[in-house]
Amino acid sequence: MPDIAKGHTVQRYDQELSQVRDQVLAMGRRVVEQVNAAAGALTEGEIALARQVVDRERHVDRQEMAVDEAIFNLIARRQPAAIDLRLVMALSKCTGYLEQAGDKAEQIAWCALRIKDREARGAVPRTLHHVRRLHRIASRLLDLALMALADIDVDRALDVFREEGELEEEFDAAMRHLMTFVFEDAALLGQVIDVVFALRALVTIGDKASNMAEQVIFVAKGTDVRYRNKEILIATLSQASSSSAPGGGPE
Amino acid sequence: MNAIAEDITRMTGAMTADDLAPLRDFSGTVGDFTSPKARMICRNVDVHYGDKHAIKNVSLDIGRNEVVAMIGPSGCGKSTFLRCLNRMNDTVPGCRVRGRITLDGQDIYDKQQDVVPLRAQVGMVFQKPNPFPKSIYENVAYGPRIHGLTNDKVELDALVETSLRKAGLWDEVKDRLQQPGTGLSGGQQQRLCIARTIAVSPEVILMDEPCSALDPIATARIEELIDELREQYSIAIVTHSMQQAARVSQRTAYFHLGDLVEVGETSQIFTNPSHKLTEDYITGRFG
Ligand SMILES: Nc1ncnc2c1ncn2[C@@H]1O[C@H](COP(=O)(O)OP(=O)(O)O)[C@@H](O)[C@H]1O
Ligand SMILES: [Mg+2]
Repeated sequence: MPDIAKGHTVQRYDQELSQVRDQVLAMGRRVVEQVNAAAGALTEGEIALARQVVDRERHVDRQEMAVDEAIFNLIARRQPAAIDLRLVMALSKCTGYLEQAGDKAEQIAWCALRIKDREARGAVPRTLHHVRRLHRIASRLLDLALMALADIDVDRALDVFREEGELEEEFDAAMRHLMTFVFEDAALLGQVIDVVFALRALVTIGDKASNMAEQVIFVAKGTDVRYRNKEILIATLSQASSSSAPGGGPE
Repeated sequence: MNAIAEDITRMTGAMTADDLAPLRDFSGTVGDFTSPKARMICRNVDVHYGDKHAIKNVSLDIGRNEVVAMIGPSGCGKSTFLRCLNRMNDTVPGCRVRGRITLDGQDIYDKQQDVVPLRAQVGMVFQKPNPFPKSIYENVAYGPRIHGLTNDKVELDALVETSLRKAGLWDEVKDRLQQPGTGLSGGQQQRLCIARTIAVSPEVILMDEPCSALDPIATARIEELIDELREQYSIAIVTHSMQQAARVSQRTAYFHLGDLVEVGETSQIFTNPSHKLTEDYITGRFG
C-alpha cells in the first residue's frame, strides 16, 4: 500500500502528517524497549535495569506530550479531512495507548524492585516462567500493532486480534499454577502477588496493542470497530482484503 | 468556467478539468442521489455547450429543508448544473440541456412552463453581489411588483420588511431604506440580494459561490443565514470552500469533469468518502 500520508498538493502537509506518524512510531519503539527491559529486569533480577526503566518512563511521557502538541497544531492549521482526519484521530488515540503501555512497563519494573527488596535471591524461578511466556505474547502483539500502524496494514491488525486471545488463556493458566505455590508455601505470597501484578500489566500491554489495531482498521476502513466481536471482524475483513484490491473506491 | 476561475488558472498554471480529461475513468454516481423529501428531482441530466459535454448523466434531488452543497474542481460543471435548476442556461448560446428536472412534480422544461415565474420559485444568488442601482427598498420591492405579488403600498412595505428581516439585514438598513443598495458593504449587499430573492416567495434558493467575494465575518453571517433559511426553503449551494460545504450543508455532491462522482450525507463525505476521487479532492490531493 502506498504511504497514506503522501500525495497532498501542499507537500508540507505530507511532511507534517508523516512526521506525526513517525513520532508515534518512535514512541512505540521506546515503549517496546521499556516493556522488554522491565520484563527482563523481573526475570533476571536485574535491579539496575529496573531502575533504568523507571527512569526512562519520563521520556515516554514527554514523547506523548510532543505528539499531542504536533497533532493539536496540525488540526488547527490543516483541518484534516477524510482519511487524513481518521489518521490524525487514530494517531492521537495510539499515543494515549502507548503512554498507558509505558506506565505498565514501569509497574513491572517496580515489581522487580520490590521482589528483590524482599528477597535478595530474587523471585522463585518457577513463578518467572509465566512472566516470560506472557511477555513474549504481549511484546509480539505490540510489534504487530506498530507494524500495522506504520503501513496501515489491515492484515497485520487482524493478526493482533487473532493472537490476543492467548493473553487471557496464558494469564488464567498462570493464576492456577501460582495459586498452588501459595498453598504449598504461604511465605511466597508476597512475591506471588507482585508476579501477578506484573502478569496483569503484561495483559494490559497486549490490550493496548489490540486497541491500536482497532485504530488501524478505523483509518483503513472508516469504521469504528471498538467493542465489536473480533471473530466476526476477522471473518469479514480477511475475506474483504483477499477478494478486492485495497485502495480503490467502488467504481 | 467563470472569469475569475479562468484568470486564476491562467495566473497559476493550475490544472483545469480539460487537462485531466485523459485520466478520466468513471461510471455512475456513488451514494444515494435521491432525497426522501425531494422538492426538485433531476434525472439523467446532460448539458452540452456546442461539442463540449459539460454535465454527464447527472441525477440528484434537492430536498425540503435541506442544504445541498456542490463541490469539485473549477470547471467540473457545478455552476452549469445549478443553472439547469432554474433554466438560466436557456440564455446561454449553444447550450443544450437534456434529461428531466421537476419542481414539486412539475417538469420545469415543459413547453407550458413560463421561465419568469420559475425564476421566482427557484431564486438565484450569485458570486458577486449584484444589487440594482436603486434604493434598498426598491431592490426588494421590485420583484414582488413585477411578479404581480402585490401593488399595495402597505403590503409591499410589510413584504420588504419581512424579507429584509429574514435576510438578517433589517436592523442595519431600516433607517436608510431609500439609500442606494450599492452603498452597502459587500456582505450587506449579498444579504440584500438574498432578501430580493426571498421577497418573491421562492421554494428553492440557488447560490453560486455566494461568499467568495466576502470577508470571513460577512461569510459567517451568510452561513448563519443559510442555516436559518433552510427552515423554509430548499437550498443548493456551489462553493469552492470545502470547509464551507462541511459547515452549511446536510448533503454534499462531488462533481468531477461533468460527472457527479459521489453524493452523500455531508458528515460521511468529509469523514469517510467512498470514492477515491472524492477522497483526493476532500483531502487536498489534486491530480
Ligand atoms: N457559456 C459557456 N460556453 C462554453 N463552455 C462553457 C460555458 N460555461 C461553462 N463552460 C464550460 O463548461 C465546463 C463547466 O463549467 P462550469 O459549470 O462553470 O464549472 P464550475 O462552476 O464547476 O467551475 C467548463 O469546462 C467550462 O469551460
Ligand atoms: Mg462555477
